[in-house]
Amino acid sequence: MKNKKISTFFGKEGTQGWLMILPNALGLLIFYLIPIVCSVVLAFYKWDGLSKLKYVGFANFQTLLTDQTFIYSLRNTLYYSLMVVPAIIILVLIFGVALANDGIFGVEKLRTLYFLPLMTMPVAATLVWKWLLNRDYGLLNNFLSIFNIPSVSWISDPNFVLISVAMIGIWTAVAYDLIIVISGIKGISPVYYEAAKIDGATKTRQFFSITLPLLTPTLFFIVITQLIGCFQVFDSVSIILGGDAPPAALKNATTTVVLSIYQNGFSYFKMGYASSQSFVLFLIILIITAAQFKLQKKWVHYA
Amino acid sequence: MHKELSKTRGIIYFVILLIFGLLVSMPFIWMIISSLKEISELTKVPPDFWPKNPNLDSYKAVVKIIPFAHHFANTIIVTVIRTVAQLAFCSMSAFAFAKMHFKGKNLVFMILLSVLMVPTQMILIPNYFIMMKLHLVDTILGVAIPGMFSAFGMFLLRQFFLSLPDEFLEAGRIDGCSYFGCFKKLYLPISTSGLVSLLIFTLMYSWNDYLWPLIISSSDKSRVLSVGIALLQGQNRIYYNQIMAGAAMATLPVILIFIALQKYFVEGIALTGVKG
Repeated sequence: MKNKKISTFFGKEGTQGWLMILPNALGLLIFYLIPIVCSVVLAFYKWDGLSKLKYVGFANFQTLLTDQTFIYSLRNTLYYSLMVVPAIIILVLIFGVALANDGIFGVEKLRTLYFLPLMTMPVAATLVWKWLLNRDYGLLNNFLSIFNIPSVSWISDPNFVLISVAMIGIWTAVAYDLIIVISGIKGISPVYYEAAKIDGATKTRQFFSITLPLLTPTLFFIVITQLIGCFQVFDSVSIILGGDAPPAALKNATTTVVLSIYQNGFSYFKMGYASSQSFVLFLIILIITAAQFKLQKKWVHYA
Repeated sequence: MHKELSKTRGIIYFVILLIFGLLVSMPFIWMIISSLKEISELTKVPPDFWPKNPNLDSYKAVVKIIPFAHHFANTIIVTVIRTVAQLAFCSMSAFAFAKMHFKGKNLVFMILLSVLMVPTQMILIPNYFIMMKLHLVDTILGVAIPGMFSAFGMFLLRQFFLSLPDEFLEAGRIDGCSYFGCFKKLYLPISTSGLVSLLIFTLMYSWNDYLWPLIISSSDKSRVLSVGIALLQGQNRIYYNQIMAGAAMATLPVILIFIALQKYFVEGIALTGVKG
């Protein structure tokens, strides 16, 4: 920056500056920052939302360790993330390279088709998928039966339900990342490809030696944001389990951390306990994100 | 990228990408097709692709089963409140952080930005009780309020303002314009692309938001579409063509806006990816 005189707290510039910041800062303070602090404090209390708060120390966290539902929810969330994130990376690479090619006839219009899932409300998308995956009348099972593959109970079989939720998660999330990857690929200077062509590099070689390494910062961003998103998955799971009361086996196979927080907080009114769960979720996300920033040196190339 | 495709190869790629594109948008296509079918056609094995007698009966049914028009109006009100508020508040604060110089600004910016790192589930329970204290539980304002403020929007627009030259502000100040006046008259008019990006993000987030409205609304008075159509599947005597009709009506407005503003939208998303 230039050597500009920084005005004091309440100089002319300061006063006007604070006034312009005030509305957003006040809103963020009251509805985000203070609630975050409250949530951390609440994790050490027992509270049903009505009676007086009761300090219980680490008791909520001790309960967490033995709470089967919470352990299932952690496991499911982890499995879900391990299915969704790698699938998204592979899909955006394949379709990103193809759709970034402006030489293809009508590619602009084609992109719109791939971006459609982004625009669909997650709740609506899950309802549609529930119908597609219907055991008897769903499009998918009917399609598979052409190849003599027996019907699968995608939604009600505990062995398949998480895979179904992951399919929905991939479908709803992939378009956003596809847009980022397409713009990332288009941002790569054509000089690299021209040089590679002179050297006689094949298209495959060009992909692995130019496109992929130069895309790693973009892929890093996608892995970070998608993992955070996966750990907060709620909409699809709650709709999949919704409707009639699901059997316990199905619940155990599907419940995610946020669903567990929601149920403890707003169905069983264990507000303190739910807060301790959300605090643990926050720590997990923080650790995973920090670990990724550490690991990025091994695979992310900044040009 | 490489633009030297021959014509035939271009067409082959087009056909392959079209087939996959149709596959990707199949849930969407199937939603529309199913919503136009009659109940008797739903249980046909194997299903016919096209409805035998396409009609809007299921749409008429949904509007009766849930107070759809009311939910729809609520969603529009909530979305308008949030979008207008975010555009005003985020652009003002972003401008001050990007272009003005005063003590303590960087510290406050970092503190506000830390909100981005915390999962939203953490704030649900305290916010519910804040709304209770403000007597805003089960009101449209209660649904809208937390989404009126945004650390993400502030950050996005700050990055945008940083890319604009300082000279306008200097010239404006010499001419006796206040800082807010410079922001309003000199910077906002050249910030359309940044503002439209934020507008689309807010619009989409607000329209699709589910968890917070689910918690804060307890009656149709304040219920929005996402919660309304989720309730469809718990109803007695509901059929999938009707659920699909509800899903289609909840989705179509956003699709139409997207197609109209696709260019800005793609630019906006690309911006978040590049700046990280």
